[in-house]
Amino acid sequence: MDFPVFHLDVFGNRGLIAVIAVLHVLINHGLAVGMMPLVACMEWYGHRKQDPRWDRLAYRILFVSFLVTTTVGALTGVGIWLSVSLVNPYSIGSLIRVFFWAWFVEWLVFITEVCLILAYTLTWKSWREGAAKRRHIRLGFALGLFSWITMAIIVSILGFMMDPGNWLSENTLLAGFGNPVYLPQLAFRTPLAAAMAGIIALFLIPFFVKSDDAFRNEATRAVGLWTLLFAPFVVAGGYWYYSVVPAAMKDNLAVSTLTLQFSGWLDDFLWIALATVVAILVIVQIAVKRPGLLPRVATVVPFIAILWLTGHFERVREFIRKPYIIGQYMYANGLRVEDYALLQRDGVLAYATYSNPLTEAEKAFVPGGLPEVDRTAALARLQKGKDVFMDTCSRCHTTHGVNGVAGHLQRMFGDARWTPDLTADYVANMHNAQPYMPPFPGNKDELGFLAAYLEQLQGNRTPVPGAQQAGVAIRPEGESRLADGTAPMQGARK
Amino acid sequence: MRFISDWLAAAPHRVVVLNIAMLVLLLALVDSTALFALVGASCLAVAGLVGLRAALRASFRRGAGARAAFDRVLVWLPGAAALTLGAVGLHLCVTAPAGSILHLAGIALFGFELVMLALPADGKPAPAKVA
Repeated sequence: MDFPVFHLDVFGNRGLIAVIAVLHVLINHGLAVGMMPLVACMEWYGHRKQDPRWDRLAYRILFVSFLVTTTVGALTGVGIWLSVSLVNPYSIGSLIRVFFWAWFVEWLVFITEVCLILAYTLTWKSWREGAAKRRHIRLGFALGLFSWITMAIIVSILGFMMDPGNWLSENTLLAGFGNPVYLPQLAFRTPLAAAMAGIIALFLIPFFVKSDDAFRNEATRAVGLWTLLFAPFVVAGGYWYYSVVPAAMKDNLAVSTLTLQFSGWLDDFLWIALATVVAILVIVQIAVKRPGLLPRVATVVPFIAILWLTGHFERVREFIRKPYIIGQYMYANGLRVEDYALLQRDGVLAYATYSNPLTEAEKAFVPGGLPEVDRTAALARLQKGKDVFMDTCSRCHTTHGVNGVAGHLQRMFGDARWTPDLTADYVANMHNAQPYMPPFPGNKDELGFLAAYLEQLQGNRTPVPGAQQAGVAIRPEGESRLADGTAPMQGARK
Repeated sequence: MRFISDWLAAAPHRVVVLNIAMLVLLLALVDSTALFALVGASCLAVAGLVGLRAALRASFRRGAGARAAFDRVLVWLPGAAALTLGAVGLHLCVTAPAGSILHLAGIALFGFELVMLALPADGKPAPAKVA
């Protein structure tokens, strides 16, 4: 509440992060963490066999990886920081404080990784013979190692967000880094990245080796073997990972996998996912056993399938930890669990620095014929309701867009009027009915304000602009906090 | 008839696939869980033993070093994967309710993995071309 509220009312804030983060993970796992060791292995194998065709293929795959990782990969990496800082500055702020040194090391490792991929790609054609070639191969394996270390650090932070473990009592970096989800998740993601790289390479081989070249079969078989080698470890790691996910989060599996609307289809979805995994394995088996029988189009199936499965896994991982954004420490609305007692006593608006001005469409909800005093009071009440909505709901919800509150209210109450009494009762108890929802953080008055604001959504479908479009006003309470220096944004304003 | 025999002769793997498809179809039509389990497990065991023998012989022929390790994995892993998935398929055939999607998927998986076990791998790697 110390930051102006960035808000995307159609696509949703979570959607913005999801698109950027999922794209980044697919590139990171498939083209960096998994692909760099695979390319180095191909180069090494070709060198040992004195077969230049392996070298040519490895270079071409590396070049694709280099282009994608240093453009879209780098952009989405920065994009995660930008989008998360905009959408939930409190959570990213907490993570930076807890993992400061881990992130510092990560930054150094990442810089090293960038230098290595530049050196590895740019020296490929000049370090061709003898000792230079051996040095180049070692460079490739070093690149693979540093790519993995970047993932190994970040995975700790992702695990921490699911279950901080002993950090909740010890508050040390080591306790946070060694959270209970860390190693199982790393044990899952490492072979997943390797298998994913194999599947992407299978897809790329036909582009780089002609169908009448017998080498295509040899390369397809070797890459298929690489993929098949890691497959059992993906299954074992996945099982270990799932076994350490807190039980309360597993209760969210249906909603996190398929959204509330389609949560009843979980069993069907899991069977489809399992069939997809089997389809990948079947195609990879053919690639190993009889690569000549594998039509080029068949490599598209595992390629699309692994992108979908990994992307969907990331979506589930993001949602399943609800109602928290950092397990048992911070709710998804960006408010700390330990602050709830204070907020529920004083109200969230008492600590909100900024206000989100009402739009003309929202103001139109107040009846026109009212005396000026009553109209002003009604507008003030609506303004408070909107501020409560923006401060406590809008991190996850839109009004009418993706995951819109209007859609949920329509599903629950239908065309009956969404009177404040009706919705206030629901909001006050929603966390009991739906365990992925955080409890309402404000006081009783604010519950009434919010309910009044929700009422106008029934007839007003105009999107609500965020601070980035409509700007902000400073609340009177915020003004005094800025004046006495207790609002963190004061420094930024000066 | 001649057309069929020509078609089968054109690619030897077609005979293997056809034989296994007929066997699995027959087992499915008989609709006896015990028979499917017995014959299926026997098929997997025989194919597994034949594969094991071939893999052992191939392994002893290869030298030491990392490249030989790669070749060994190439010999062992596909068979192990096919045997594991074939067993999963057979398990589904035997335990899932007859006619259910799981049962049908199990039959398809079992048949496919049996083909993978029975088919010989493609020939030796192509010779290197000088750049």
